[in-house]
Amino acid sequence: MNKENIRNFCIIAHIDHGKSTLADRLLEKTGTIEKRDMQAQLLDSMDIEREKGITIKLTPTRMKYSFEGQDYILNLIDTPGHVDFTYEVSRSLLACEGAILIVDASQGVEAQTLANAYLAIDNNLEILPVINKIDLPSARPEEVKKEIEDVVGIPAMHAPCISAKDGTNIDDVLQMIVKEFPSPKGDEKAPLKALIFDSYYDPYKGVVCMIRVFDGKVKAGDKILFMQAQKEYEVVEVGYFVPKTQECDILSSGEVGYITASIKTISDIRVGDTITNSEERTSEALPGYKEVQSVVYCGIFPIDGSKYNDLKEALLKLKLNDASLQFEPETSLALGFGFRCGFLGLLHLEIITERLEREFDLDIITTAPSVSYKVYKTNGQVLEVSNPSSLPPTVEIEKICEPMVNASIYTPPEYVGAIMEIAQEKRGVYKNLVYLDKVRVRVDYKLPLGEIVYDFFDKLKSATKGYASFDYELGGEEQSDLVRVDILLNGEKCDALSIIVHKDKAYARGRVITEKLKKIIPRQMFEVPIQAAIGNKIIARETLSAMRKDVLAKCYGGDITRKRKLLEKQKEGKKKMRQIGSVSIPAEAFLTILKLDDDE
Amino acid sequence: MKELSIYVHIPFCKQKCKYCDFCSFCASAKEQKEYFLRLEKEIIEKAKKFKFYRVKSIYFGGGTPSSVDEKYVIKILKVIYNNYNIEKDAENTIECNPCSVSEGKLLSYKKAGFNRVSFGVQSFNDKVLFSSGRLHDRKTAEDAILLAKKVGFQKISADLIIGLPFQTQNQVLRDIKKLDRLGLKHISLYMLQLEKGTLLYNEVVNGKTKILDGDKQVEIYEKAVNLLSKLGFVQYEVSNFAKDEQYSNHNLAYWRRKEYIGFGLAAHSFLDGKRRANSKNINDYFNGKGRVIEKLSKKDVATEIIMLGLRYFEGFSLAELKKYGKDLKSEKEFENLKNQGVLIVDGDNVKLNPKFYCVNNEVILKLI
Repeated sequence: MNKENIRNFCIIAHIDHGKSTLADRLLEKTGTIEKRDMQAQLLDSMDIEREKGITIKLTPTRMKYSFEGQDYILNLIDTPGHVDFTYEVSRSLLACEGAILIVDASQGVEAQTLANAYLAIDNNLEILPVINKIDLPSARPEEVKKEIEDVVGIPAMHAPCISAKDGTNIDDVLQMIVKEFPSPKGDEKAPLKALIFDSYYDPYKGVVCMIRVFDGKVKAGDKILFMQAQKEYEVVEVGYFVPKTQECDILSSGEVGYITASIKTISDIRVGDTITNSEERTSEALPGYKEVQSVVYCGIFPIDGSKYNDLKEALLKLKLNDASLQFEPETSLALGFGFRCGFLGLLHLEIITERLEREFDLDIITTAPSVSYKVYKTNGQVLEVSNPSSLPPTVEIEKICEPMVNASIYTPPEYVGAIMEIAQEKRGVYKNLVYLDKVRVRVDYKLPLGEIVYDFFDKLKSATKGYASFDYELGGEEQSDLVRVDILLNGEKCDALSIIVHKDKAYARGRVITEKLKKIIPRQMFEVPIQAAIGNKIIARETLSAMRKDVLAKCYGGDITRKRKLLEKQKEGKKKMRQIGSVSIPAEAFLTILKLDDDE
Repeated sequence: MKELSIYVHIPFCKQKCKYCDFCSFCASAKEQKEYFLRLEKEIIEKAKKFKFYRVKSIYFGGGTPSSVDEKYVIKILKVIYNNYNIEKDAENTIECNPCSVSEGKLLSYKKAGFNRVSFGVQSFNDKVLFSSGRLHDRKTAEDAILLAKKVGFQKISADLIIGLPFQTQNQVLRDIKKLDRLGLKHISLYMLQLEKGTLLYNEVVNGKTKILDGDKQVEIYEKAVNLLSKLGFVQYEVSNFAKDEQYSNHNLAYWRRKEYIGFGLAAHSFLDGKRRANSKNINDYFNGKGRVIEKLSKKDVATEIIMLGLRYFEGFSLAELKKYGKDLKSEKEFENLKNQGVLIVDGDNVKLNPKFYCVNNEVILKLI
């Protein structure tokens, strides 16, 4: 197909403004999918995405569309809509020439609308605003158009007003795609230059790389080179998605599709990497590749220690289509062998742990999320500490800096008071307050990231009945009075329960954790003191009284087997417990301290 | 000749107790008659395998063996005597409910060869007894024990339960003193185990009845153990106490992993390293169906040795355990428990410190 007749585009939007629904309608209108085969929000192929109403995985789909006697190929590259996944969005934007910006006709411009629109502008994409949900009684399309022009700063008067839900004016969107978005550029005769913007693992084909070809072409049998990874492979298959895989002969400049090359080494494939022909190489790789920066860390351990390798395999497979997931082996005295994992944010963390459990059927323990602190030691050494247990002793520390964020909270005015209260409590520094219009206010705060990963989202949500939305970007580091609170069970430190916290909050947190643990840990044969400590100083203590009765009833009439089987079953249950010295604690103990409520 | 113990199960009761989840039920005279015929047949059929065994103990349990006409029980004992080699001083026990014995009945038991009676007293408080669904009252229980003494039984045992509805600590302690005054040299003291499917379980779940919680039960149990010790009773197992070495030899055989054969509905046997059980279903039992045989693996045996050894005063042998692939000496948990004083290790012998009998399950779980 002539490059002139190809359009590569994506859809960007704030969460829940109807991105996936519009994608579904486009597939249906272009006949890519028969209506009867439609499953609501087809592109969100993972259960978790559908449940959370967000997209995290990119699924590029090729559609055919005829307009004014010409046939076009439209490649839709779906993008995630959450702040945690900015890097994923930027990768797919690189593969596109245009972006449809969906704005909810009643909600108007929201935090992510702006953030995503700016990302698209930064990537030089043509932006086409679309007003969605005009079927809602509260729709105010004209006002929203004006809002887009005022706040985002792009023309919006001719934006199609649609309802993705009932299919109103979808043709307008398709026509605009053809008319407004530029066709891809690139040189078909130049050496191959293609971008990997996503990948996944297929048990039969190996790694499947989703690519956008910029220059040249690629076909089965070609020898290719992954420029970042410096690995060579021979292409086995090329094709595109409709949205299932469809093999084809060749992918040329301007096209979007996939390649397979019997790649079994998952770590060879890095999203953002450039593919070229290894016999006729391009002179330079595409820009855009970067190692992602994790902001939230936690330890992930298999409940059953023997499943360490399964966990490793699972993480490798997840990393394949989630370049932002980082991990390295970690050993904990309490939890054994596992991984220290880095995430883009809390939602990302939650999604990964859920996928590990659901898709890979693993029982895991996650430790409390932490951020990365910069520790300046008295001997001049500077350390990055993302694991509380690797914080050096207090005497060796000159100062600790913690990462800060510039947070913008968008809210109806009536919640400003409540939000400020939460932000104060989270050690926030007030920066600014802007009335965006009559119904919306933006409150800016500088906050420690460590406070946000704790329970900021939950608090914000409940204080504003879910109306407030929240956006943040990293805002440097600041020195802070931080200490490590250790938890001791029967006098033994449980490294996996340690947290780094501001000195002023250490006592309260210590108290809450010990109280909570007392409730969760079953009684043991002996009395167990549960203590929180800073260094050698105990700051909170609870006592778990000794178990009194756990005796087998009499073996009546010589029925020994029943008792033995009962014991064996109980023993199996015990395997899910972790041994800290002489104390057995259930996996939940590690999970519940993630979400502690200070008010409790 | 090898040693053997015989258990005979009489599954009949006049009325099922509210806390009972054993294999027992009410039955008509006809059903009882048929059952005893089948039982007799089973005992005779199996006899030829046991020509070279000498029987050390016979135990009639239930159910309530005393609830049926004594002629059946006596006949069965006779059949056993005629077909097996019973040692001269064998211990022959019959479980009795205080309300279903008379002087005549007890005397016939004695004449037939029973030399030990075990009474299900449970409590000497009428309100407690009534609300647990027991058919006897304080007076009946006392009288039954006196009658047994009168007809000449030297070995009399009584069961008490801790944790029944309306029961108090003082009652339990008084009950123990009373049994001692009555001259009993064997007492079994159980903590109530609320079993799913029992009447009591439903009453407790529905809030109709309150029972003592585990902590309170243990509190009473510990006081009771103290008292028993003051009165001269030796605690030879979690729930069993005896004076003058009047231990239940039959129960000791279970804990020592000696061989035994069980006759009757749902009866269990342990022979040649295999555990067997007759069906719990009466029709299957009649047709000889539904038997379960389990060959114990080395690991199973090791678990049994620990599980049984840690419930009584003889403990177990580390060397014996090692034969089954379990070398406790090399295990950290064993060292810990030893250092904590939970296990009493004397050379090759390992016992549970009686202070920890109430949590023996937990200890066993750490070791198996």
